[in-house]
Amino acid sequence: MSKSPDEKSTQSSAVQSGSDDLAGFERAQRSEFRRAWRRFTRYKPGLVALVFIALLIVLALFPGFFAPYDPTEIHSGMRGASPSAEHLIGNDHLGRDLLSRVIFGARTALVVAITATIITSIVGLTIGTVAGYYGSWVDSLLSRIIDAVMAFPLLALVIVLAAILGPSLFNVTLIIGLTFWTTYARVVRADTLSIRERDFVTAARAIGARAPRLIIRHMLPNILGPAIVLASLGIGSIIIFEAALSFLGLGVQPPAASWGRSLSDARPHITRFPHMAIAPGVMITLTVLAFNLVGDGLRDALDPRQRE
Amino acid sequence: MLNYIIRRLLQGLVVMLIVSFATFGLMHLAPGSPIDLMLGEAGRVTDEQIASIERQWGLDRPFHEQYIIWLGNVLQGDLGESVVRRGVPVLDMVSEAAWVTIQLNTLAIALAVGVSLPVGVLAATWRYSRFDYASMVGATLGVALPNFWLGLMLIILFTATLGILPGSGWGSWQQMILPVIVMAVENTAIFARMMRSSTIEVMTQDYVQVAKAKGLAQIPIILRHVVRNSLLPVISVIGWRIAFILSGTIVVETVFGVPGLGRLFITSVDRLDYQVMQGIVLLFAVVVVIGNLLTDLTYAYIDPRIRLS
Repeated sequence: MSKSPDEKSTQSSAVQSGSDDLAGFERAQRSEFRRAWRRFTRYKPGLVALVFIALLIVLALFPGFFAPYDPTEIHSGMRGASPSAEHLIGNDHLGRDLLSRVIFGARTALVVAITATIITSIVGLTIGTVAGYYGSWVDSLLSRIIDAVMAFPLLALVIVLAAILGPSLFNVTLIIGLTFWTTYARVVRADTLSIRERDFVTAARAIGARAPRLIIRHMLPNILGPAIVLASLGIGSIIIFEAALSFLGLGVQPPAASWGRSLSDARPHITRFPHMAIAPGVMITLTVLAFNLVGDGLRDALDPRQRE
Repeated sequence: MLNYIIRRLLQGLVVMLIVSFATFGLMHLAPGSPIDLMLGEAGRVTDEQIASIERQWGLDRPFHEQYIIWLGNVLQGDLGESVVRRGVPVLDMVSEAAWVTIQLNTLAIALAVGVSLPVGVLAATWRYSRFDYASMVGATLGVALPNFWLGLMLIILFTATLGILPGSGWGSWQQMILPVIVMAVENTAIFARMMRSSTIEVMTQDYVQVAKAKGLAQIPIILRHVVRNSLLPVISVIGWRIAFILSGTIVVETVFGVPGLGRLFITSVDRLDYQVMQGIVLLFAVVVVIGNLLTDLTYAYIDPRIRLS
């Protein structure tokens, strides 16, 4: 594997931080960030997707401002009504405004996706670096545990846990966060293994740096790129999982709005009110697509090795 | 090679032990004992009666003893009895449903491979052409489409509007079309992308350049020299995707009312039939472990670089 110029620059920043030259460390990081940003902007679909996600975040932060109605308000006589001037994409089987429910659903999707991604990244990074750094029996043990978790089809595992703990927004987020980390752990472990043998780590160890400092100050900055790429590519599948769980009735509970829940509401009425099933699904697809495209762009920007 | 096989087999065994322990422990965490569920509506039951059933089922023993007894039973093919459908062995319910799931997913994988391989190879051959662009946009979209929504959309189109295909059930070939297509979409997208990038990689190899230089036509080069090598990563990915495929089958079978393992799993979750849930989860995990093991061994057999490192 050949060293790319970006790899060298993060490496030198890590070495500088070893001498506690904090000012120099920050300067190096900023320019690295700027370079990554320039590489990211070269991928146009990723840029468009980023704008879409930004709009979605605004929507999720202030849903009350954008939604024309209360998402749980039942409009009498409007059961399963088709799109009209007052209700732009129609009403659901109870007469609730679909557009408002889709807008409030964005909040559910993003809250679950972002929180679960944070949990999963922390668990994956910790287990991966510990396994890769300590090696020997620690590595074998953690690797077998990773294999065992990966042996369960994730959805089956998540469903069993949701059934046991009871379905709620909090539990769904926690369950997804605590089951999705295996891929991160594997990749981080492999990266740690290869970085552990590099000269700058040996040098830091020679000056007397101990494990936590070695891992956090010297190795982590070099692992972070691929980890961020993985995390961003994982958000899409987390959104699909939350929607799938809610679709199966094991996720967010009514009357809270969730795209998956809306599709589950639509299912029994699919022949009479097909319009109920369209908008929530389009939103899930676009959001997942957007996060995947941003992930592709980040891969080009941060992890040149993985470029297709 | 022998060393590698033994090491992988031992690892697989350890993983299966952890998996069985986790499955058993998970169901143990569940609220409410199976006895409550059975006797829930039966009215008044004395404590002695409960105690006698507990003794009979071994529920009064410590956790680790229960686990060992259960593991012994599982190894003899006894997965217990359904609590909801009283007296029906879980193994019977599971094997009946498994046959349907195997049919569905074999057809879906065959469809995915059949479509994705030629698309991937052609996209790589005509790199940056309109075909390449269109198929890769399709693949990107295919990964982002949630299968349950795609299922609903196809039901709206083919069942509710056109009325040409049934939207639920399993048995006739018409009933198989929609679920098989939905199950195949994500894998088609992933395989096509992989096939394209691995074909592009192989085409830059020296031996392909040599074949070109000695004047071989493009089609024989691709068929004889490129595809055979670019197929490798795709084959292994099929094995490693078994867990994802099983996740998908849970949802797709529920959408289309296909009486397979996925739907049996969801109905047993709804009814809190823990014995059936446990049996299916264990079966899923064992299938994944064996599938991954076989994939790794096949891959190591074909590609010596793996087993020697």
